[in-house]
Amino acid sequence: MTPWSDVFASRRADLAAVEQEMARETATTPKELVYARGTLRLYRYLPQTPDVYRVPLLIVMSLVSKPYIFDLTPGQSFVEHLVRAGFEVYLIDWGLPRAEHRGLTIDDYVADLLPDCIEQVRATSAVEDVTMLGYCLGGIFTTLYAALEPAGPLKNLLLIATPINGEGMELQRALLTGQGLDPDLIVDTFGNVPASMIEGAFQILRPLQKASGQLSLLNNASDPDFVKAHLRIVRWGADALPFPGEAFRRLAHDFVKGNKIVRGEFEVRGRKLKLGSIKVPVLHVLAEHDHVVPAAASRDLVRLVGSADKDEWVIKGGHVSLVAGVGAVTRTWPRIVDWLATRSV
Amino acid sequence: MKPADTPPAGKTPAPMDPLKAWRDWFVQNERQWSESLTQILKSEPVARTVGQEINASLYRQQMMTQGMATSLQSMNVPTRDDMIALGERIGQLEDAVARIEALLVRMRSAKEVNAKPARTRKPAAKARS
Repeated sequence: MTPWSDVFASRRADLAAVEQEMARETATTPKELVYARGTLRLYRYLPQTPDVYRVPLLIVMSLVSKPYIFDLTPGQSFVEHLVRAGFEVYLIDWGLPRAEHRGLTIDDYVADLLPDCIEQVRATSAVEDVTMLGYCLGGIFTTLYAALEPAGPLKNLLLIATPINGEGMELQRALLTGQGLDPDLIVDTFGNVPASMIEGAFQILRPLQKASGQLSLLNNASDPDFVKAHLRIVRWGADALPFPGEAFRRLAHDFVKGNKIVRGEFEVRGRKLKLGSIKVPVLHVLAEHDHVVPAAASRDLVRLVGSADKDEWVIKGGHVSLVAGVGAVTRTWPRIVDWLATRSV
Repeated sequence: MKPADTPPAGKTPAPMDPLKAWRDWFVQNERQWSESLTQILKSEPVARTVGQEINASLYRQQMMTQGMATSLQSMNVPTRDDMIALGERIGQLEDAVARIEALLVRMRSAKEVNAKPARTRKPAAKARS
């Protein structure tokens, strides 16, 4: 009879092999680094079509999640889908903040780093206007930028699962208000909010999901494709990044607790930003069962922007299923490409 | 039994696995249970208690880190802060290498202006709306 230790060793070796294989298959769409500043990296994905749409597309990732969710694996990569559809795609990877970045503020991201990247995209592509795609927290940054620079080079604003109404972030708000969790204590203690706290925050939003995922994995252990697809998402979810301290403090106070974005009282560089000043075409794609960014937190966005050309799509699924998974590949991405194509010439 | 569930000729159906059935039941109901739990967490007294417990754990962690640092230093073993400082220096080196890489990419692409695809692509007819 095989000893249990041998069985576990064999399983561990199998899992390690799968993880290595996944690492090799992740983020493989050809790209080049066009700009680096601090931990920020701006990548340009190499066009794969004989001609491209005139307007380049800049993807702005969340601060606390790694951007490879957009380039998960060949055949399940949003970036690959966009590049093959004829878009010139750029992506901002904010990188891993260090202790020296604890002082980075929302103003730095919205009024300095983001405009800097836009200028780099304009210079590299030799095109005046740029479409931006913001995911989750990256969507907040792109929305605030659009409100800050209504006469700027923004051509279209595509948002995915973007929270805008702090009152809709019910659980985070309940924890942060009253005599509960103290955001100032977290920042003053750690500088940057540790990645482990970010992971914990995601888990508390759906406490039994991890257990459910593990049971689901057990039930499908004989299906290698399921195992890999499942582990890819689990790996990404557990790969959170630290949150730069001052940016976290500001969002906790002014967005989640103060709900200032919706009220038009959120200030960047001393200016109160009004979403009504956004006039470019806006599309907001959100998920019906998003436990990270509930509909109550995201649904006001399209109502508040001042664009004549604006739309909101509610897709079946959760937070990640907007940018990964079978439904995204077969339904969501082709619709997004159609929306972008007509507005990118 | 539905036709799709009929085992291939010569094979006996898999025996009922009660653990698998329990796991399926858990997976199917997880979303609802998680929502119920988060509803409880959202209530003011529970949220306050959880928040205060997180605050307390921050203090405990900070005190433990400081306490361990003295012991580790006396044993001439790198502390957590030492490892973080090392990581930061590696991060700074990575940033410097990235800046050089980006510069080289820009120098190369400046020479390959004609190799870039034309920006003349038009949407397919079905996409026009």
